[in-house]
Amino acid sequence: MKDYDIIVIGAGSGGLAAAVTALKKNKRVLIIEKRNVPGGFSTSFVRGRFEFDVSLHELNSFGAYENQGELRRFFENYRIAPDLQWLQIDEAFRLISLDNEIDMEFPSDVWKFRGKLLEMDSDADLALSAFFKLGHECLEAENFIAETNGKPDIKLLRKRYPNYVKFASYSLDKVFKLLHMPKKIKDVLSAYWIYLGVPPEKLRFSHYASLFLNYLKRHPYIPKERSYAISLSFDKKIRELGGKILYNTAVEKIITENGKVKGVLTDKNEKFFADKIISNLTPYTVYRNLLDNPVERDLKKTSIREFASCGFTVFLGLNKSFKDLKIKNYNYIIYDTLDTQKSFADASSLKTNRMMTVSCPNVVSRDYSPEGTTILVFNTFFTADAWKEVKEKDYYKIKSDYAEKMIETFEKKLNISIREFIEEIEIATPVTYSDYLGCPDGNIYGFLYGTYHGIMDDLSFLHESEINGLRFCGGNTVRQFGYGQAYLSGYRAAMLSMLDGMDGKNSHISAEDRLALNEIDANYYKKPRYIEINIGGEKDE
Amino acid sequence: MFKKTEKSIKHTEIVQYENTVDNLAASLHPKVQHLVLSKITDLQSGYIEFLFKPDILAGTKKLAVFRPGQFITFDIEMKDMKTTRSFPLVSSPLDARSGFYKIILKREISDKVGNFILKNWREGQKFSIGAPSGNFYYEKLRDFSNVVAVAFGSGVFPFMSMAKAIYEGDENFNLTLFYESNRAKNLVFKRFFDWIASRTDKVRVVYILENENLSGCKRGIVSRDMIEENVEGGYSIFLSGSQKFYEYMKNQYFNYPPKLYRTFDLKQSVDVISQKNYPKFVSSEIFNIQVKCRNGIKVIQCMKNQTILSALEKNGINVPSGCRSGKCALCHTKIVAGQVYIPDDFDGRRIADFKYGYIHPCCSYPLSNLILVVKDC
Repeated sequence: MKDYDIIVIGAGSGGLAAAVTALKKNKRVLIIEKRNVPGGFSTSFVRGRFEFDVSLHELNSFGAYENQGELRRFFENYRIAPDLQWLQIDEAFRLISLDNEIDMEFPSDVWKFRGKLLEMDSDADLALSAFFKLGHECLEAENFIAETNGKPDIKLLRKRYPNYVKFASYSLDKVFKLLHMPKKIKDVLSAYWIYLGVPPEKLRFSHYASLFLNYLKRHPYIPKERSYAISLSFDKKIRELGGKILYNTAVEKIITENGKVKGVLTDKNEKFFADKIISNLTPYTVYRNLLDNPVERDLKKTSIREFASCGFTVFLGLNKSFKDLKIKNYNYIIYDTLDTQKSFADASSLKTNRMMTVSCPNVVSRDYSPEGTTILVFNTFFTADAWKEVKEKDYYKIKSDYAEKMIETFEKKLNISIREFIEEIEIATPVTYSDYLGCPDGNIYGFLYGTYHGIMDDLSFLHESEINGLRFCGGNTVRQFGYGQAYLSGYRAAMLSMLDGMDGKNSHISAEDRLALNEIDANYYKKPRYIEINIGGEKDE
Repeated sequence: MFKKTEKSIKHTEIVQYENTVDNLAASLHPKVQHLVLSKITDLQSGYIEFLFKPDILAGTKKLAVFRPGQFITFDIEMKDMKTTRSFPLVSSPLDARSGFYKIILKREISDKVGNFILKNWREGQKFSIGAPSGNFYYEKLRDFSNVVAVAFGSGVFPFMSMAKAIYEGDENFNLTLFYESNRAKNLVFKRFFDWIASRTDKVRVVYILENENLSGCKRGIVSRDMIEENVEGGYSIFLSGSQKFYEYMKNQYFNYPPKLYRTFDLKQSVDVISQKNYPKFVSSEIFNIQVKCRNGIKVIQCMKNQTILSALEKNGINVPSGCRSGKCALCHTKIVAGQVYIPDDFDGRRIADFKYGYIHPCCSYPLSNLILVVKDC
């Protein structure tokens, strides 16, 4: 006897998207959220005159209304956040290395970006063309694989995307070598690796190319009203569609019977029954804490992957305008050195880590904060060992000292003053992320890339559970972490969940299912689709 | 491609990561702390001190440290209603590491909840609270190293924690406290501060008496002039006291940069009707609020000068709360229809809250009949 068709654990980006998707298909959906607001990472907080967006600096796959990326299409189709002021960011980044090897701005447009690279080295034309072409092919191949739930027709895959098949497991670095990419160009092309917390030697080319190309094709976007507005918009939509959200309630256990999902038990000792659950909590946490009888294979699956990096963020509210502060760019990407291996190794210690991104939303929107003020957000990541030795009694001093170092580095490099204008400051460390969002060890980047964690593996089966009826969405599932990906993973998890057979078996999508789902979905897509269902990729037109 | 992965899974050891950061998070920000009210001390002169220790049997082995100036929040369950009440810690981080928290209550309290506490809390009684919280603390990267603190009467509590922490080495800034009261006998904590000031030159106290003369104290009322006669150079100013006190100081420090001006906000009872931007015409003294809960719809009443949170609680509708001054957003609630008044200083809402219709009922007052949707309660 079930109360709901689907129970969603956690109202983070993935959970919210999953709920809306299922509700549109007239399923009865319950979301259980332990905090009192929706959104997880997609939230903001107020200090004095300032409202800080916790996490969103560059939304990928969004695009202008006339040039919608996959994520925007999803938002438009489900009428999520239709009336927010979406700000297009015209720069890709200002790339700086502290050893003075580079300090250059790059625009977020494919041809302009390429043009700028060719200015640096006109001989790189061939290598660049090959890089972009390969990147596009990978994008398309991944869409194809996503749509078949990781079980593509291999012959067809090889035929349509021969280069992808060859390069699938190559690292970004290896592809650069194969293409004889000049070093200077390589340094710029790989600049976004700090977003992923993984150096180019370990990054899967296909995933990096996807992130990179999508930023250039669609420009990065942010909502002026902060990402928290997206979360509230989802809440509104969910209620309109008849969904139920229980806030201030934590799920303590997933109830199973004979390897099948039966329901959940909350911390208020209530039980809710459903034969399908979508968890926005990471599989690592679910298998170890929410199941009385986890399946060994599931535990092993979350063991062969290591966690990626943990986050550290400094939020500054400054009492001077960005013009007076002489801040010119929205997105500063700053590395100590362009030796990526060294930078990554340095991230393992508070003493040596000097890389960071610095975002200034006022550059994009003058009245993002009150007149005469500026918001500046510093971000870096650490690999897990960096915070191991930190003792409780030193914690506040350590985090303040590290933030001070970041600010000084920025001031010195740009020859500007920031510190004396700090009106509000908040520092989030891996401890904060662990406490606030339940990220294991403050890890905010999902699982580490490597041999076992790339799209291929996830799509095949690693993200699914041995337990029938249980699916995952969010940062640790298909497509790994990433703002847009979290929402789309929720969409995907819901679609697949609804297709799962009555006997609870997790299924791949058969041709008949695809057709049926396409019929239901036909209303939601304005453009005719080359591949029938869009559940994980965008088609390049 | 897949075969290789499959093989690797079979040979993998099940890993439980060390979770050192998670453990640090759990000790700094525990979700729950079980306490025993170990000692109640009548400090005479109208104050009662409550000392709490961890309830080891219930599972709390040690207490979370905190930043001096923060507070702890208790759930209060009275016969006919549940609410929360927060108190600044007068003890220091070192005290927490040594195994206790201390708060102090004023005996002559005019509110129902305070009186309930004074009447009912007993030694040996057990409590469950969360971690200390609040944003009123010294931050090296923002504040001047010279901090002027101004407190009136029982507003002095957060500064007791700061002064002690400076003496003990957990805080590193210069504190000049202007501690004012109407009469000498009400400068209750003079001895405490004298003791600390005699042991560290980072803490200095200027005592001010409004209506009496006493050696070692100034006569008069604290003012910007008085402060600047006694302090050299630039300083950040931290205030703690009643709403009237804040309004007075705001005039004294008119246009002082927000960066340098901080107030301790905890359950400020504002006289809404006398606020400058309170609407000239309000249609009634009392309004109906339709509250949609999990279990159905309840209609309650709320006076125009009563916070919506207080009306909800008095009618048995429990909304989580913490700071009760508009900042922590724990009481975040949806408003579907109607207008409310929120005093400027207490509107800590986010842009999207305005857009999608959410209020912090702890600082919201009805201007019309309302329809609210409360979250799980």
